[in-house]
Amino acid sequence: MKAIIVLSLILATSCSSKKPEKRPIIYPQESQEVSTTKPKDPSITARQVAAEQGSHLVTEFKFPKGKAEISGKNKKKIRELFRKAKREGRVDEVQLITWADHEYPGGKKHELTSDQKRLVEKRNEALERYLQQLDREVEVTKVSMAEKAGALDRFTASDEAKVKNTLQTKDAPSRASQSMVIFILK
Amino acid sequence: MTDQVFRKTIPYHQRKKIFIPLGIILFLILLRIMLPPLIRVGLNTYLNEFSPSLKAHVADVDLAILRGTYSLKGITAQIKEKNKEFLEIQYVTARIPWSDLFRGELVTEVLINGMDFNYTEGLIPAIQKHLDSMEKDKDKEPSPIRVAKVDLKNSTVRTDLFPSLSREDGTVLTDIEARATNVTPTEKLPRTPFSFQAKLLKSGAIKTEGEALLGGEKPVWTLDSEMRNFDLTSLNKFLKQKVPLTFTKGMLDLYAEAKSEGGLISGYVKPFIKGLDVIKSKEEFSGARHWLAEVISALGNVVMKSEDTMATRVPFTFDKTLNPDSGKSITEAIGHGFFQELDRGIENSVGLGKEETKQSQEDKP
Repeated sequence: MKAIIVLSLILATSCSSKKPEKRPIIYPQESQEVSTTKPKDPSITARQVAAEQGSHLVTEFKFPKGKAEISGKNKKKIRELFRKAKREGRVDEVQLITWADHEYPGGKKHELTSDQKRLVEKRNEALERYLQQLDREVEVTKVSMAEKAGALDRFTASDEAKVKNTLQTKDAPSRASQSMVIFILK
Repeated sequence: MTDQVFRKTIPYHQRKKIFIPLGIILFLILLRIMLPPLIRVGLNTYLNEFSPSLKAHVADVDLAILRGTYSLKGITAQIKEKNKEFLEIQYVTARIPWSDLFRGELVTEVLINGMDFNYTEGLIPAIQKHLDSMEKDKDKEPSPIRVAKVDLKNSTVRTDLFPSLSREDGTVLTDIEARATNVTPTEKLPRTPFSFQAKLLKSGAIKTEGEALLGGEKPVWTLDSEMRNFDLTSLNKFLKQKVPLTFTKGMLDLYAEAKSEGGLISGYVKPFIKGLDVIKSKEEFSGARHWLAEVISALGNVVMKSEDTMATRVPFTFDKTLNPDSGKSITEAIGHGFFQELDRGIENSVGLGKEETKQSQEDKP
């Protein structure tokens, strides 16, 4: 009975609030991410893509629209993750997964423009250049999320096709202008 | 006649060149035809005997060797003692890409499509008995196959614990889409991230994401969860079976974080209820069994005419029994009621290896 009174009091007290809600980050219902006042970094999607590749070393960030320059803040994120990776073992491969300023082209006929494809190439090249400043011998695999996986890639289930398959589910959240950097250890 | 012409016109060494490859191809074709039924029979024998309390059956096996995909179709599972079915799966496909095999890695990804899970009487004891029987296999060598990803799609969970409910009314979760990656963790990569989305009673959209450490003796996990736009009246069909009250209206949004560490589950729940209206029947509540119903009923009386959203944050611990932290809840409820607003969404304050900390204002984006 005591518990009932206490709980009733709790809920009744909160009823008296006229405006109890704020606007934190409420993700769309189709997104995997849970709405939050403090987003997780990296997101569950990034952690899942990395774990599928056999890694937990992943970071993600956004490029400014139409740009391919990496900001100082994002360089710091990559640098810190690279140092962490080096502490944990030998880096076998770095996977760069980058989007254009539009979502991954879904549907059979949907294609992004060549400008958008070029933008992703530039972004991945900028990331590769920065990674080579950190370690000249690092092996980089670039995945463009402006282009669909080819038939052969899908047939052989190449790493690129696997990444695209994981990220193109109907519940994939908006990833336009984003990049994920995954360090895979030997 | 044709045979004689053939023998005369094509010399033996040339015939050998044709017949050997032809024989190999024929053998491979025969093997391809014979293999699925052979695997099916062997697998079904195993699935019939693999557990003292459960058994399963596979209707068909499909091999696409070139693509590296292997499918089991029409899977069913039963409780042995009651001969009662609790699981149906349209198909399970495992893909072992040739590209990984050529790199010397045995990696697979699994897709489970169209699962229909029925929570039925006697299931939990049967699963427990099965798990107990597995205890002796605990020290077995780890599997050489790395399961990189398991996807669950187009699936449902229902219950037949209420005989008066139809199969459709007993359906609890629909549109389930779930994913777990790194399902066979290693010392170097111990975490298994997972996500889960579904519709609760065809109304509330549930999302859950988290990580689990599957390697240890006790389950260790952390999860964040939300449920939005849940129409409380959809609970009535279950409430009618158990407690003497129903909702005439009310929408629930709920945000929660929880973790299980060191054998203790802890976390918090933040319910946001809008326009609650409860009808209490004339029946008496029967003590502790109906305590929650009495709370909701009392609450309904308080806010019956109110369209406001009420919200609170209830920290809890669970160690065989649920212990809501009433003291904290009162303080926070009063706080949120009079002095500050309560944020929707999870606070990212509960995680493995960290004490729960209420999010400070500086942390907010």
